[in-house]
Amino acid sequence: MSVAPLGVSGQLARRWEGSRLYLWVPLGLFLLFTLVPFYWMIVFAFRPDSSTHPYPWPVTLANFRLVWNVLGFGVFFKNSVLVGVGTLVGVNVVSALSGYALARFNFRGRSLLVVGLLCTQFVPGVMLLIPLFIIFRHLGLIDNLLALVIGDTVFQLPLTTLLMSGFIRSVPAELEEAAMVDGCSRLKAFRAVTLPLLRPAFVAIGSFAFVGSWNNFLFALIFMNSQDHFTLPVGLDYTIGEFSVNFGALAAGGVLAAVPVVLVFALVQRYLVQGLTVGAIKG
Amino acid sequence: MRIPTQRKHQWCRSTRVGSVVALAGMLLTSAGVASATAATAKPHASSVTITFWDDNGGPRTPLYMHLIPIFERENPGIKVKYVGIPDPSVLEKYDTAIAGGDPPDIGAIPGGDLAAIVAQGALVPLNKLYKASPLNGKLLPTLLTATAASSSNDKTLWALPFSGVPSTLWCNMVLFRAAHLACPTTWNSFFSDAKALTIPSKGQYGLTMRGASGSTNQLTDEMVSYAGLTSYFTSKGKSTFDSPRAVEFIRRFAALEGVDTPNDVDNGYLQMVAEFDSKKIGMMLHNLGSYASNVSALGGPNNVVGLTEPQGPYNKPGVLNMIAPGLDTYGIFKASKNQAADWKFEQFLLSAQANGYWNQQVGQLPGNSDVLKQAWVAKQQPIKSMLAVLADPKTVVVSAPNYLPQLGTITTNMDTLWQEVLTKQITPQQWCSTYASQLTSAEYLWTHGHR
Repeated sequence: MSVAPLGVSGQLARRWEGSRLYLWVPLGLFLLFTLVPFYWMIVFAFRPDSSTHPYPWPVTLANFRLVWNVLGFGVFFKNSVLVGVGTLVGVNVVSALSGYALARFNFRGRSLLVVGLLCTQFVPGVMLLIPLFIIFRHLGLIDNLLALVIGDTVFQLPLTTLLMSGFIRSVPAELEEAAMVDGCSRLKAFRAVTLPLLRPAFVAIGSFAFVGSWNNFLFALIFMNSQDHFTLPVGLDYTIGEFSVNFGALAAGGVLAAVPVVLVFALVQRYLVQGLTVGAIKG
Repeated sequence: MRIPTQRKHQWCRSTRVGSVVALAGMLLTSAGVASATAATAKPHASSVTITFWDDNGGPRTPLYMHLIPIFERENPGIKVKYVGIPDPSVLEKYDTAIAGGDPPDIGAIPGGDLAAIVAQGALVPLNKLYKASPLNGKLLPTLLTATAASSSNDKTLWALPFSGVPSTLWCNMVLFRAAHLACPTTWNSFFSDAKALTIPSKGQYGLTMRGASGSTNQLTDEMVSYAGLTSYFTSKGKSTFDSPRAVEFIRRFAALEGVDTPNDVDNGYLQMVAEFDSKKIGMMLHNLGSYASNVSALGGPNNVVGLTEPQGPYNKPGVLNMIAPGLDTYGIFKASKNQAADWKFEQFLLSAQANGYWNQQVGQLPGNSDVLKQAWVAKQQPIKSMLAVLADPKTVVVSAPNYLPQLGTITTNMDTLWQEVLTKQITPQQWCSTYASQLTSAEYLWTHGHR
């Protein structure tokens, strides 16, 4: 059988496919949009106000000293870490328990509960600010970081519960049943069998919980009433004045706020992908 | 299925380790939360603590950190807890705190937000306190009148002004000197200078314009000045903003295309100030508040001149029309249990000593007229120039009807329509007619609602 020679258009198409340009061109464009703001941030953070170079030269740390020492970013950073870690722990613990209930038990109103959890995602946080403010005021939690941990945890729970129930469902119930046959209680079977298999799920959910609370500006602004209790997003807002903006300080604050999130994702990336895909395949 | 004993132990061990880590995390967090909470200073038993919210926390925090200890030394029974609120979120913070029943005792309130806070019944009227205080007669009458007009039209003082920010024409004197020109004092020279300073090949433009958010407020200042308007409304309650002179200004200003920086249509104040501070723009119409930023970016006070908006072509020589300056005010909240201490603190902040220090540092118009005698005022060219204009009996100061609940919505709508003028989707005449008709309707509703 003879093969007909490819025309010019066919050769071009093959070369296009071979070079994988169809992959690199859109990716490159996407990266351009993503990385240019980061580049802008680095340039403004590391160059002096008087410089107009499109690159960080001469290099200065003055903006970092300003935000850390004068604007109090040291305190904001510590608060953000405390709230982020608290939310991460709270979300993981509660969503593991509630997700387990949804995954393993058939109870009356279960479907309604799932729909209810989904519906909560349609309510914007800003609508609940005043009711939450009143609740926290009655609990004596205004100007207390615990209010942020509770608020962030509660807001993230509906989605993380649904995600976690999906993860748990992907672990065969027979494993737990086997452990129970061997004498484990349900709780012990969950702890001994299911929990270790959920590590990627915890990492995925924990990362989202941490980043969600790390970036939450509104709760920190509204529920905190002391300089000592504000978090990084509020600190960033401080650099935008009534009539002018300190772009150097804004960029330096942005770098400080972005670095931990980038590090978290870099460290947990492997687990994150694993965690996000584990629930997608039915075991 | 059987679980091998060794694996079972491994699982149990890893679960135990996981539990310990989770518990440790929770303990660490709660310890941190507790320590951060404990860090809040408890007031001394014999003293009263009042909470003060600053409406521009961050840049101005050091100023209050300087002033508050002086006040506390002078008033040993009163402690002030300072909270700096970021400027972009002030009204949101006040609104939630008022609705949630936990506002501060005393707060700095931007003049533009005053009406919204007064409407919630959150503030204490200060007329009687002011009249009986040593401050009586000391606050600049222009600012005092503007403060009263900001929230109501019955002369109630729901707050007292500590600073004013008049609309200002900023000139980059490096470019002006190079072109052998002076910062313009009439609108006709403004338009010709803007053209003369434009050299697109060098990326140099005569003007940077505010095209997006806040553009209508800026344009209104300019329109009133150019057209020599004396009020927003005629005696019959009809807006004056569709008068032929007002339309003429909008037409001339919109025609500056090519003389102003490209992409002005997207400029909020941040972009506009950043463009002016790039050293390649001749003029910017903003307000006194950007003085410090302009001086720092353009290389010192000799390179910047700030004047009131120029004289209109229809005004008599030496007569300027201007909108009352933007305001910063202090108000006392009804919910406060320590109103006497609040008032003491407010009087201190408005004293010549404190008010002079504060306004010198930020480069704004002081609220206390005694400050005008301080040496630094004469050395700050824009402030000196503004004060001369405000003190001139010929100057016509027009109060904005901030009492109209719809004013914010109207100006926001008009911002979008101004973008349509700049992109030639509607004409300047249509813009003026729409603006005037919306203002007339709002005034009608206000007037008839109050009869």
